[in-house]
Amino acid sequence: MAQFKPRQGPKLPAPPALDVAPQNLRAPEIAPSIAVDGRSLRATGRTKQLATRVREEFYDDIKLYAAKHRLKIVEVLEQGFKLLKEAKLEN
Amino acid sequence: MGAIIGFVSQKGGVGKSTLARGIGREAAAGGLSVKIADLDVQQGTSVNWYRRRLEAGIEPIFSVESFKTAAQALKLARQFDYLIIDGPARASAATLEIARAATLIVQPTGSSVDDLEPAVLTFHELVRDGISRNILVFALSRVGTDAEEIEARAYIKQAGYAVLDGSIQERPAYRQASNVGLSITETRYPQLNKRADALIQAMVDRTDGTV
Repeated sequence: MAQFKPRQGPKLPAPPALDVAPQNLRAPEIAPSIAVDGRSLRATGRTKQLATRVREEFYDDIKLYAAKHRLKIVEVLEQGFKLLKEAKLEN
Repeated sequence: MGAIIGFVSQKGGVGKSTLARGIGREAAAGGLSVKIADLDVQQGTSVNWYRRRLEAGIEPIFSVESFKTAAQALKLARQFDYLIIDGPARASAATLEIARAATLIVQPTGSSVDDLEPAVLTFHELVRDGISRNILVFALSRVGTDAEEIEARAYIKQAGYAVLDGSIQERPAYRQASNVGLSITETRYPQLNKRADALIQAMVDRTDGTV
């Protein structure tokens, strides 16, 4: 009976080719940290704070209007600003 | 200007700090001025190791410092015979910056495909960005058997890169030495110290040949 030597090829696969190299060297040195908290996860997307000082009469007025129409202050602002922009466009 | 040796990798735990500390210790023992720049501010592996070394009163002492960016560390190159950069376990723009300034870039790797493949890809990226293959070398670490080492060497050679002579075997004694602030050439076992010294000598020869 013929004697065969065991055939052994390389046990490791071929190394990757140069053209499949990724783009890690384009990544910034300091990995950017993504701060995620409850506020940034809000479904409304309202993540920025806008604070301003107003006159007392305006303060009372907008608070009462919002409460009466079951709106948030931000909704009064958004809707009011939208109307203002539309009015400016018409002029 | 002194030599700059950068230890880089895409993965953690491959032996960057171990080898950086080893060559730092040997260069200091040889009377050279040495700075190890630890670029992993969060982990500070080499800085913490050096604190243990100082607390234990081990000689020789040299300088190990933490840096947030590669640029900060590279500014010091003129002040030392050897600036050894212990890079973070992540390839980034800083890896390229280190490679552009370095005399030698050493990438330690284990001998499994899980380690070898990302390591080769990191060097491929550097080559694609214009870094000469002549300054890029692999150092085999955490090697289990001679057969494993032979296969890893063949893999790296096929990828077109050089591998330093010698290797760091997977031995608890190296970790035990590190735990108390000793380097890989300062273990309790002369044979292990000799093996580590051979690898470090290969790094030195390579550095001197390319300066």
